[in-house]
Amino acid sequence: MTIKFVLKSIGILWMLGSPLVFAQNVDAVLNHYKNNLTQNEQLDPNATQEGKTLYLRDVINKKGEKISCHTCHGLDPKTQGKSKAGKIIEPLAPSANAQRFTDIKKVEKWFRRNCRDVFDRECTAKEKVNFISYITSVK
Amino acid sequence: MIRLKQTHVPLILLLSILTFGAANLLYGDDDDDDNDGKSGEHHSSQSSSPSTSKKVASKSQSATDLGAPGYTTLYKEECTSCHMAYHPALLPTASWTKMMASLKDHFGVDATLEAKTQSELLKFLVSGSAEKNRSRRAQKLLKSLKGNTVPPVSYSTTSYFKQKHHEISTGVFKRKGINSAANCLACHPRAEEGGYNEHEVKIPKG
Repeated sequence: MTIKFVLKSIGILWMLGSPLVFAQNVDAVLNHYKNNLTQNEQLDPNATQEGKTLYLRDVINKKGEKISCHTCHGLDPKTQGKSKAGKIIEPLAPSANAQRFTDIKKVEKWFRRNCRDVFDRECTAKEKVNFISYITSVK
Repeated sequence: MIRLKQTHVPLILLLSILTFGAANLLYGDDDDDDNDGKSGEHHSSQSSSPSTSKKVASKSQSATDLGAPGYTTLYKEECTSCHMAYHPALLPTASWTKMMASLKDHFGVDATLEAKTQSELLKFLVSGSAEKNRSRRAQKLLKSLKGNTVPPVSYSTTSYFKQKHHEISTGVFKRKGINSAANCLACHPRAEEGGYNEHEVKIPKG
């Protein structure tokens, strides 16, 4: 009985605790960008919608190919995507992949690379806030 | 029945060996690096210099294998999120150096890294590059590259690769289950471990 009780308590505490820990990490990453807006930038009141528009925006890159965020990540960020080399990309939405947007170094690396690939420039802090707002809203 | 003088027998034997040997040279497929087992190991231990023979033995490398790649955690994390793990012996040092210096356009994709990560990865790739590998496969690749002034940045563009895949049409490489010639793993199940034996090849039908 006591062991069962202890195990149950651990389980309940874990269930209660994990979303908090996870939210803290994603929030920390989001706040990092919110605190790094340039002087000319202001937070978007419709950040989630703007982020979705950015995610779905089709661009013709310098090689003349149609490309967008969803080319590799899929139309639904909760599902797996596929890299240009054919490798599976785990879902981008934290609701489907809790590790996403928790490590600022990783997030920065992929924003830098992918924004250059799709938009041929680095994304602004405001765009990153919008993007993360959308991706984390997908449940 | 024709009676052969005893003195003629060695001569006839010698002649037949020579003829058979020549025919083998002319028509034999250059796939000796796909032979399994003892003959290959024998060859590699013979061809290895004394300083490298220990290394070969410790990796229990067969003639057809490039040997254990020893991928580092950093390599797995940084390189395999987008593509399969390429064995460092697939390219010579000059190729890895060139590739790691041009990550801004890595086969059409931005794969830039922090300077420290980049140099650590290059160190790993160079430590196991084709020059350091005693397998016949790696040695043949190097031989085929002799005279090239520009180091290749992809294995699938080398003449050695093309020679080994001469019977595979470009349409096959474009199959959905393969994607491109860069996806070794589609047909070579042990590619990531350095196993490229022809006998293990399974080509996806679609």
